[in-house]
Amino acid sequence: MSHREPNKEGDEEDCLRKLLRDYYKGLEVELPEDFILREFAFQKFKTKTFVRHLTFQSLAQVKEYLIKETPYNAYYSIALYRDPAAERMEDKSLIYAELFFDIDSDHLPGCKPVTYTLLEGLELDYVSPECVEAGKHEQLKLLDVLKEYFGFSKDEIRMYFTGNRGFHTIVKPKDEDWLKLNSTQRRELVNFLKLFEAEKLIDRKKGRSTVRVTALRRRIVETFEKSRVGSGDEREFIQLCKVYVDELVTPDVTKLARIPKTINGKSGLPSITFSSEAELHKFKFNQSLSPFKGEFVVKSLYTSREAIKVFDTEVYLLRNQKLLMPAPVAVYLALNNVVELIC
Amino acid sequence: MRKARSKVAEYPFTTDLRSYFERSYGYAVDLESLLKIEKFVKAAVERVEQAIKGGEFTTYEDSEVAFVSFYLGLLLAGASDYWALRKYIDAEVKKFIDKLSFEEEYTIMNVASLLNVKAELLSSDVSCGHKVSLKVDFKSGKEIIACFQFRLTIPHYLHYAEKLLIDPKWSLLNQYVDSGYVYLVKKDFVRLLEEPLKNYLINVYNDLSIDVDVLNEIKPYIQQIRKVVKEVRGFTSDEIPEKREEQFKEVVEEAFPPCIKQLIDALRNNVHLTHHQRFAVATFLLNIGASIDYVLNLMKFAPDYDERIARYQIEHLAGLRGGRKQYRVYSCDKMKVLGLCVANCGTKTPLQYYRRATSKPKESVKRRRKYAHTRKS
Repeated sequence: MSHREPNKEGDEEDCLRKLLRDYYKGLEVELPEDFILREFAFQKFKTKTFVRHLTFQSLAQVKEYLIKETPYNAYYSIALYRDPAAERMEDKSLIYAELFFDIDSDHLPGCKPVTYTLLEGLELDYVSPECVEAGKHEQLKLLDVLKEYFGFSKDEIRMYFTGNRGFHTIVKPKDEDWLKLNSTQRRELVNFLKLFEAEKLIDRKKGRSTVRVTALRRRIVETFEKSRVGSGDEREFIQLCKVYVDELVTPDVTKLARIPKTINGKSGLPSITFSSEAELHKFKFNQSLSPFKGEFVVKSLYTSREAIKVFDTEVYLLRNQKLLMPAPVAVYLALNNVVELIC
Repeated sequence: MRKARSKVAEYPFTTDLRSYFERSYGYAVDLESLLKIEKFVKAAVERVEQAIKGGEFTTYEDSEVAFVSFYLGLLLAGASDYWALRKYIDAEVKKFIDKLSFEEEYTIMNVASLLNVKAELLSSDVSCGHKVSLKVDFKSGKEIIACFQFRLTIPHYLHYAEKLLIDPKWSLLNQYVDSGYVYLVKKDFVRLLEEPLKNYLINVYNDLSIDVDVLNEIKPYIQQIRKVVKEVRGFTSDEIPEKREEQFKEVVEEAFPPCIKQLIDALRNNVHLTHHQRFAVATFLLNIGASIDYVLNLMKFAPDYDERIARYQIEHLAGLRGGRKQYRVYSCDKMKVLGLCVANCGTKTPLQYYRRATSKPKESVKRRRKYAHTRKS
């Protein structure tokens, strides 16, 4: 490093990159065994442009790339291809795709992401712990449907908190017929989770002497038995039963998922794997999730109008002022270009 | 023997011609010989005509006529016109499916395995196969009990029911689903066999082969069937391609995005498209400036094509009727939601893909000009 020529990036930014580089040096990369057949994609650290269609032959190569590039975000495909490096999707030759479900906490009803407007006009978005908690609740609901209705066992399911607002669930069922489902068929799984047109289905039963025993009815009944609240009106329970997955993600077999343990460029937190439902239950969104410990000195690039709350820490920013703050908060603000880290 | 014959008459596809004659008479009879027997051919032509025209179907008392005429009908319809073959298969399958739901479970299961439909028979006991009780009334705690006779895995269900999913009745939510399986009552399970049976019959047709000489002999029947096609549809399948080529040259099909290409290919193969699929194709074509007739000519491939209705709908989409609003093609996001997106094109709308693809030559011209300019200076 000492013989490196000075560059425009400046020492402060190098400090952040060095931090990320050190993190990746100590990282044991975790990927599915068949990663050679998957496409990798990265968002570049500085320019935030996407590099796609990459492949790796070994985990050591992946690690080397992460250390060298310290990407802003790092992804791998849920699909396996005969030629994952081909640039056009139709040339990649799809073998099959795992099932992918994405829950975005900030899109859940009742969750509003916080936006701080700094004096100079810059907007800083922050997903509050309450929203992430709502996302976790949704993730538990998803897990329940995946197990009870779709019949997946826990060793077929991989679950992650993506480090900022999302929960990713990837399923690789032993029954390979699932992996070959096309976009329309995967769309039906979304409809099942989101109770698409459930009101209509309930309505068409009106006036009929026989009620059909359906999955919809079973889900409503089970939700009622768990919650035991409300008037017993089916419509109320439809809202409670819905699992809010991102409906654009599941039908798209070309989607990319975040590489486990890599740092999310929006938050500075790593993507975290839940090895059991119990671990998911215990999960709390706070700064202890960060691999960066201790305190860092930063130089603020902006002035805040109010207290900015990141994790459990409130900070007031004054432009050009140097501050000492908890490492996770410093990294969060540095990645969002609000402060510069000083080594 | 009588009973076996009547099964053969009702579900002729369950027995192939060869084994029928070998079993009944001790020797095989080839298609060529059967085509020379008037009572068979007459019934076959009648079956095809009735399928094209719709309406009443003849029930053949003689089970051998019923059996043989089914196969000859398949052969004659296919030899005459691809659309007629589709119509014939649709009509015959509908008859079979209607009858099949009154059969016993094991008979249905036999048909399912013939079609290679992967399913499980839960019980041949009529009273209850798989029993599920569910408390449906929250206040009274009243339970209802349902019995299911068949089950199949969720991926298999989605595969066989794919075309039906557009109807909420067939949605996964509206079925009983448990631990990876969809449970079905007899009637619903039989309905699920419809598409696999159609595909099976297309394969049966493809396997029927006859001598070219015999093809000459049956020409009068083929002409007769084509005449009926023309009466009902207005034209025969082989009259369309030329019409398309000569009239509309401004549309660059090579530049169509993969999603639209796929839908148009399906349409040209007489596949029944859903409402959303037709809407996507029609609005896309109208948006790129194709004429009403161009779109109409494509829609003519649809098995349920009705010129009057189709013209009205297309003119409506083009903004010539009704609200006078020209409809825009779905965005790529919407296409994804509808499960119609098949590739990652990096565009916002299918239209953008077309415009980019058609403007490419121009771009390279521009680049060349620019290069020439720099050379000059």
